[in-house]
Amino acid sequence: MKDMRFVLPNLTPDLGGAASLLYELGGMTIFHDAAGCCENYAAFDEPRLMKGGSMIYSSSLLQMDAPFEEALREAIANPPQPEPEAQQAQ
Amino acid sequence: MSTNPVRYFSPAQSSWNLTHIIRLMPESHALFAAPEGCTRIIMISAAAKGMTGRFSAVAVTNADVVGGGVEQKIMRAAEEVMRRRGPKALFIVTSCIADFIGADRSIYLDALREKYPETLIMDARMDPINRKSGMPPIVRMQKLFGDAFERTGADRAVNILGSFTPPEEGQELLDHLRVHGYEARHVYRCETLDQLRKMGNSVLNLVVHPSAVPAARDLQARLSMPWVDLTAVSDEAALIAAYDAVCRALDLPPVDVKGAKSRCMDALDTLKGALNDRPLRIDDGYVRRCDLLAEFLAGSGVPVEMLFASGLSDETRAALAESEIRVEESEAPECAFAAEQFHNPEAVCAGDYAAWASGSKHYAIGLTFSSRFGFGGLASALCDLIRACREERPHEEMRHCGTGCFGL
Repeated sequence: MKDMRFVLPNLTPDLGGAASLLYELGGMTIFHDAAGCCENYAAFDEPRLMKGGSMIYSSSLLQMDAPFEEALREAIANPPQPEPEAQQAQ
Repeated sequence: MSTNPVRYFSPAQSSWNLTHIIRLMPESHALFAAPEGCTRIIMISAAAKGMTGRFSAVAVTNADVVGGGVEQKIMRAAEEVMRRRGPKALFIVTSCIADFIGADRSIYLDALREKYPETLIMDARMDPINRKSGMPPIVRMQKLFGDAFERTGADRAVNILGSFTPPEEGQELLDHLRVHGYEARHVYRCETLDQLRKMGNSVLNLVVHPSAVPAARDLQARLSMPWVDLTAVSDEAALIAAYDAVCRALDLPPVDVKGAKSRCMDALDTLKGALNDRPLRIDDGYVRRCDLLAEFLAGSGVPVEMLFASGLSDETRAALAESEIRVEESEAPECAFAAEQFHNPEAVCAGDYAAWASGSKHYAIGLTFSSRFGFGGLASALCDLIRACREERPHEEMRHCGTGCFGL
């Protein structure tokens, strides 16, 4: 259990505030989220975006991506096949 | 990480969220159980509409995620809401994080339903992570509204499902139903939970948005309510066929669309004059089938220059190209430069994204979840565009009075 952490990175207490700080620096901001967190920032929290120059993106996270990422999608695309012996036994 | 390309979010995204939908349920209260960043926007939207008394939030924190006990925390918060507010209906809204940690919602839902049998306890979700899997949040909301319906009799009425704004005057189908003694019921018009429950006594459901199809199917199975799909209407023949299906279900004569069609054509002529050679730009937030609107207008001689839309099929794109309508993405990465690339303040815009990208103050805001359909609905949309031609609106209205507020 040495890798156990009781303090995780904050979930979303103030993503808008963090993104607003980054806005000052210019460049691109990508939210690794489903859509709602990014939309909150773009549509509500940052009025300066209306002046243009808003490179605000969401990674469009989906349910299947979140827990298992590539492994799950790969498993669905190429499901594991039963062993030939097991097939014969049926 | 998702293999989906990153999605661009413009600042013109409309202020439509679950606050505006949930407030339609009369005599209800919503408890949002989610991280503070998720709930904050709900509470801000509620405050903007003067409805903070109908919304509460309980924060799901890091300690809850690691240490467990989220379900018990929600239970305690829900009991507090019941003590203080005593709503007739209680939405308990969880967000994406509840799925990640595998929260067992039955722990609090079952206990609350047992403890408060008179209260409608509803399992709502603000989980956009499920928008392409499981049950998308908007579909779930439509089903929750339907779940409240109860059959205690048979009323001469029909329900409109799928939209979040009430039907307007001048819609030919609803006028026809009214003439023949049928009331058109919509959740927006319900002032009490009892009125909403009595929508279960209506004889037919009219579905105007695809997200309500599962709700209509549920109601057919649970309350034997037939339904007619009005969402697949793509031209006049399909519209008439859909109206005929409604009339057959109610044993009524066919709908006469001549008057509404004439009003629609008059509005079209007025729009052409009001545009005065300015180009019209449309985005996919203005109406659900923005491609059909663009094609119809272009085919009627309106100078439709551009359509901002995402997810169009190749077939649709080909049809639009045939009508000489330029299609631009509204969510692709390159959209970050749309405001520079498509700047044309002279353009008249249907939708807030088109207005933002064009820098135009002549714009109308639409709602993809509106009750507008048929010639009457089209005439209303055209009248909005005529007003947009004649009047300027500041861009700030997109953010402060965007689609959600417009719809209320």
